Amino acid sequence: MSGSGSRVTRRAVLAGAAYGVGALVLGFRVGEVVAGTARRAIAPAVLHPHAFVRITPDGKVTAIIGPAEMGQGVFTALAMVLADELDADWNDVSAEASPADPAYGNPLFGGVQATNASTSIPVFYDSMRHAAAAARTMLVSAAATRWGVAPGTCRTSEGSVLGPDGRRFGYGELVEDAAKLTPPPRDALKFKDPSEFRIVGRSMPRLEGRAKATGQPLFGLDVDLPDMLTATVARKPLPNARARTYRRDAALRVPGVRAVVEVPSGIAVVAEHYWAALEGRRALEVEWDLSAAGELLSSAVIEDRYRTLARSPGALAARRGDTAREFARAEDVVECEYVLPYVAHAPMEPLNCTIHETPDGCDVWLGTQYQSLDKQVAAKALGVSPDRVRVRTQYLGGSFGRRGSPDGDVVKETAEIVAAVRALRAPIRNVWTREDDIRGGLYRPMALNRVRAVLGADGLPAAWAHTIVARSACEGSEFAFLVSNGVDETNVAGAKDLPYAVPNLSVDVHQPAFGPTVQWFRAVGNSGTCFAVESFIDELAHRVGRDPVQYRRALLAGDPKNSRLLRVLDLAAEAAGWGTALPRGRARGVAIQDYWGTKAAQVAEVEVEGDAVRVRRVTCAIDCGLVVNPDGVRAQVEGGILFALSAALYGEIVLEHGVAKQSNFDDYPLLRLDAAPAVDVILVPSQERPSGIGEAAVPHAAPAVFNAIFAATGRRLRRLPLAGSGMKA
Amino acid sequence: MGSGKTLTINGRQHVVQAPDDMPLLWVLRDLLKLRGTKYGCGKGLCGACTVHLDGVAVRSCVLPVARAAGRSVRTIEGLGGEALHPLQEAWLEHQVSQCGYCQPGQLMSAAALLERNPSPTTEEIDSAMSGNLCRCGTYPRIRAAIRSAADRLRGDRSSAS
Repeated sequence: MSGSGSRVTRRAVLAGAAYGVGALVLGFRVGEVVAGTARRAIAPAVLHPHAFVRITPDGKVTAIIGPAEMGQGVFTALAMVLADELDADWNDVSAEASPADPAYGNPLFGGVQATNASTSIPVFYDSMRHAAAAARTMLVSAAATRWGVAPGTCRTSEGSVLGPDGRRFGYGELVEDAAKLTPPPRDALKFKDPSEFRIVGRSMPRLEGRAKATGQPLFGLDVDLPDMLTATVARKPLPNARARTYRRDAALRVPGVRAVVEVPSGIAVVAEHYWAALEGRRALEVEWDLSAAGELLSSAVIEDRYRTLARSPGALAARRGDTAREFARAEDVVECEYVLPYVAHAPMEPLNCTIHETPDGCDVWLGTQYQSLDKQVAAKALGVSPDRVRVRTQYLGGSFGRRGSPDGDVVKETAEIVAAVRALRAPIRNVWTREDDIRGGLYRPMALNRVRAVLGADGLPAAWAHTIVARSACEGSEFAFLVSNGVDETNVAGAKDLPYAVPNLSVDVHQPAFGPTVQWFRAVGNSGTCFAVESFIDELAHRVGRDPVQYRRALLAGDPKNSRLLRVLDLAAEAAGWGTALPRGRARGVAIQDYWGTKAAQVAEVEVEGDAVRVRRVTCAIDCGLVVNPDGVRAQVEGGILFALSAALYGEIVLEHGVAKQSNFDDYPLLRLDAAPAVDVILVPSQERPSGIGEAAVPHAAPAVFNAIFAATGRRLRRLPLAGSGMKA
Repeated sequence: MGSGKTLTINGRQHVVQAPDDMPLLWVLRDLLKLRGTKYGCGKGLCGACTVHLDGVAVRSCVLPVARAAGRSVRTIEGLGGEALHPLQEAWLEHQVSQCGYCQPGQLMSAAALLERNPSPTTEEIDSAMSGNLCRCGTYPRIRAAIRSAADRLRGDRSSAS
């Protein structure tokens, strides 16, 4: 750089002028061009709302990413898609979080700016390419005009337009001219053939990897503003609890405590730093009155009620043939029940949000999966117009669904505190304790699966009936449109789309509204349905003395649409040495699933000694269509499997009279490094449209491991987690 | 209570006004604005807050600041200095981080391990690192990165001798 001041180049002058000189900003609503705008004078605060890319005169390319980066690598992957189509120099590319704006809405989730269900790549792959192709076309036009040649005689490479006779302009040099052009319509754009990709398909390091390895302040909890105060709430143990007594004065006497205020979720202590806030909170010694808290249900009671419900037909999600006829005339019906308990997401970064009201608007800093909903929630709670709220999405220190609360619970609470202490005129950071997180509800729904089958003379299921009981995370929320005729699509995914050739099928669901609040958990309903379906199919195979892989093959092979699923099954089985001998005490189990278009098969190898189970190795073959970032996909598969093992081996929130028994990592254990198996990943090369990867390896791990435990011991476990079975990990 | 305490953090002296029982974590994060050390559980259960106290990995969320006074504290901000620490290089080589939140603590635990044991076995790595939770499941890459860094550190030492 020109830090010495002795050599001021044109490039440095332009770079120093930031966006003021004429940045090229382009964007489109997903799927169609609604507004591509090139503006001469653009400041960062007034970026065009439909913008996915910004190119500045210093040649820097910024991918502006709507989905949140929570570890799944979406910033890097979408920046790769953009950079490739743009023919950018990867060294000039960075990514930044978009503002909350309809331009970044997710069409699969009603236009909400939602990072959900591993949809970011499938949804934004085309949009990024459109933005990039338009920008490239405009840069080429600008260069061609300057040279007085036809655009068709120019090409692009690594951040430059190359003209005839070897002439060259860097993109940055063309920005000012290109910004004056009208973006070409979508149907005039020429896209690369995938065979021309130079960046997509290569393993690229995570853009923010260095910042993460050096402890840079990237996360919501790291936000630091002048005069900021920190709040923490003595939270109601249940939503309708009331504080009977508490010691306000004792809290106010704690050095550093500045205010104690009641908010709907409890009693907030606002202090100069978090420790003072916590000490103040402890000093409150709140006595809670639960008399109006409603029905205080224990997990066991809820499970019993679910079991009763499962005896009656629920809302129908899928039907073919006539299962009732088959069951009525069958001599033998195989029936099993599979249960998943409530689990907490427990992202490593405790929940938090920081809000600062200023005369020119209201800034909200947090890690979130739903920027657009949070914007509305903050505006409502603060009593301001949503257009005055700026959501500043931070990197998420994990989420797994927890930072995707349709009610914006953390934002709402923070805004309520801010509104209650306006006299302090300070930015407020609100921080949950780990205990608040584990006890705070919004769990993965408890799910009880009753599955029945009639076997034909060939040993294959002639009829299959699957009844699911689980509270809906969508009913009553922004995503209620995913529920129709009593069926929440996210509760039945993985069951209603059973890939096996069963001539008579019925899938129905009960969605009782009692019990704790629930929320989507990484892989959503598929965690439960995959556990039930893949355990049950395994039971059927063993019942008729068939090899579990061959049995699945027989039920998949007849349908051409299963070819990709069949392939991953074969690849995983082969790579894992399925059928080869193992030392005593070891065995393998298999599971397959198609998660929103991504096909995966896993083989788990376990070692059992007495009642101690050790998962030694998991082999996963996965087909997610075109692979954008191979190492990123591998990381998601490895991580997804280990994440799932926490739930399979240990994860359970037990409610006693409505209140969670667990509170922190001592009684809510997660997988630790010494129990982590080796994970082998086989990526299937593909030119199919890319599908998601953040969750696609999660559902299989529990059934694969439990099927392996059966193979090793003859013990069939039908309830998660392992820790509740008398065996231990 | 509340007296000024002299802390040596990453080689620099700081005087802080804090109650004796205030955990070092919050002194680092909220008073000294060193935000690389993370809060995860507040009970020494997850390792996100790991720092070195006189070269030993400790959980700063349960370490009263009075016990750090007069001793040498090292945080993630001081791990590499000007260049990256070999472990940080290995972290990038193996692309360990996902959400990244736990990684400062992972790195500090790994650095303390390699300082006392330059050639850890797989079992020793497992044992030393099992106090650090990673919800994203980066454990296989953490193992691989520690082995890489150990190899590199041993190579540097033998080439220097």
